[in-house]
Amino acid sequence: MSESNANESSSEPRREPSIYLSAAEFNMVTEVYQEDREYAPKYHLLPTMVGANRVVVCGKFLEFEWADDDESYARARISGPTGTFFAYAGEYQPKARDKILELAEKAASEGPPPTVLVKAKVDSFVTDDGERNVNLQPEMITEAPDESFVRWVTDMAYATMDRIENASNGEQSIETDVPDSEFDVDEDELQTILDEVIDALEHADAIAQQGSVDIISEADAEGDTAEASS
Amino acid sequence: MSADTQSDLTETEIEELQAFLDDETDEVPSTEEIREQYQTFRTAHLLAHDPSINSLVEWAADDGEAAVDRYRAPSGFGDVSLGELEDVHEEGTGDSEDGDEDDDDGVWVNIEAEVQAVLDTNSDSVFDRYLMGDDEGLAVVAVFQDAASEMGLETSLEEGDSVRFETLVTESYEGRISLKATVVADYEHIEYDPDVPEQTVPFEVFVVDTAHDVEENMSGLIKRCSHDGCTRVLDNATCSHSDHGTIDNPEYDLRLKLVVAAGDEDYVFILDEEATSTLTGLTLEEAKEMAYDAGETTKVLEEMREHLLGRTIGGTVDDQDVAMMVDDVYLIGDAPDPNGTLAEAREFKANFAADAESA
Repeated sequence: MSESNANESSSEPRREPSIYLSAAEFNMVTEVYQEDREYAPKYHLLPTMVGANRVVVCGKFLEFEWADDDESYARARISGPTGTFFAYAGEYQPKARDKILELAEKAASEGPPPTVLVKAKVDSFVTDDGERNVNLQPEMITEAPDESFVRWVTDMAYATMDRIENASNGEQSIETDVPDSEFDVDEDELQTILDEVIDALEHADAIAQQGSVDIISEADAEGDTAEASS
Repeated sequence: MSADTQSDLTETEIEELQAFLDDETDEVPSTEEIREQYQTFRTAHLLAHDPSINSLVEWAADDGEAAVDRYRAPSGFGDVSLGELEDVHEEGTGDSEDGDEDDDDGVWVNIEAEVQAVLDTNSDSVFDRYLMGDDEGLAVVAVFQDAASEMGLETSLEEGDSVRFETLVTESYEGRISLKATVVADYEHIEYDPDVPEQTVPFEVFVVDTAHDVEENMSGLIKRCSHDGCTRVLDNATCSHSDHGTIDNPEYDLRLKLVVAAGDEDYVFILDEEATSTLTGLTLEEAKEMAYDAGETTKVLEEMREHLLGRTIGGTVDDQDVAMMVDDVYLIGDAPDPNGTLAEAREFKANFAADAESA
């Protein structure tokens, strides 16, 4: 529904749009903001000065493993041209978890790893070292053809550039309950994010021009993951 | 109701009925009395076995015929327009006799409306589901198999049929009121040409997936049952209607069941042949050829997914059912141009760096 219609018909608090962002930006998140009231949404603070609650990402589904001994929490690794996303699906995300197992089988068999489009809530935990590790709590995972990846990259690029522009002017691109003061915008980080976006666009361009190209990031190829394992 | 005034309720049925009435009321009719008022108590027996009925008690103690009349227009609602359903349901279920705020409680209504569409049904116990419309609004009516036999409905109603339904029960699900025709319902064809109001809402949503919650072959080039009056989508050549079984000569159709997202809310949209064609550019004939060449129908869905996943679509949708029928639909935005976007990004970076330096 158009945003206004959706809000009018709902008796729930205002809902936030899903944010398109790169793995590079996603993995830079270190802070969370949540108001002290019942059902207050949790916002993970993006370096581009936006509070993220839900995101849409795209990448290659590489592998999965059980994050716990009881085999109820599935951890999936999804890789894009700018880095890796970790997604966790437990008993409360049964559909996503089933999908992860299905995709894992596909990824393990011959052929290129499947490309997936993921709509997820942003989640995180703090490690023993006091570091915050962000991850995805998928609500929807779907296999997508290369065309969708290309489309997602261009949409993500525009959304990111928009956020960067506004952030450098001290403005939030999407209004949420998070006060401006919570953000600590670092111009260098914005530069890095922009460079990564350009990288992603180059990949997407290559795919569009000559058919499927490996979109696993160079960082991943070197076995350098973006998140410490728990 | 089957008009068999001479038939008898079986011993078991009478006993069951008496036990039920004994639990609920002080007045338990004798076997004699029950037999004398066969019709009334036949109704009671049927009602006692239908879980959607809770207020059997109220009238059981009363005089038979008058009670049945009251049942046909129970809870004081009788004939209602589809536009009143929400209010009627709320009013009726708000003051439930036993204080049981069970969602299964509904109110009894009669309606007169025209079939706007025959909706999908995959459940064995459901005969058919219809989107009905009158001058005031629209609502979905689900007719159960046993209800259909009881009221003598043998073949499905069709789009354009105008019908008077009696003793339907309202049901609330996910904020929508729909109607159920159970064994106590009745119907008859009527002359009625309503001016059904537009109940479509505009949308602009992101296509997340093609829904295959039940089976893969519910979207794309689909097969429908070719039995007279049956339009069920086949699952691997089998019709979910208990009597139809495997269908050798199905009717082909184009259909899409899309999972779409607007912000963080997901919806299921259904596109019929026209909407699917418009959105994907494929006609039914082209789709059939494609399937023929590939040797299977799934090729068509693959093509459609490639075309649609991740795209934004706009249009209007009929907001009546949990799965919404798309009225009007179009793609938003051009095909992505990574090359062009890349150039823009490089320029943006150059400007951004320049600004940073001068700051």
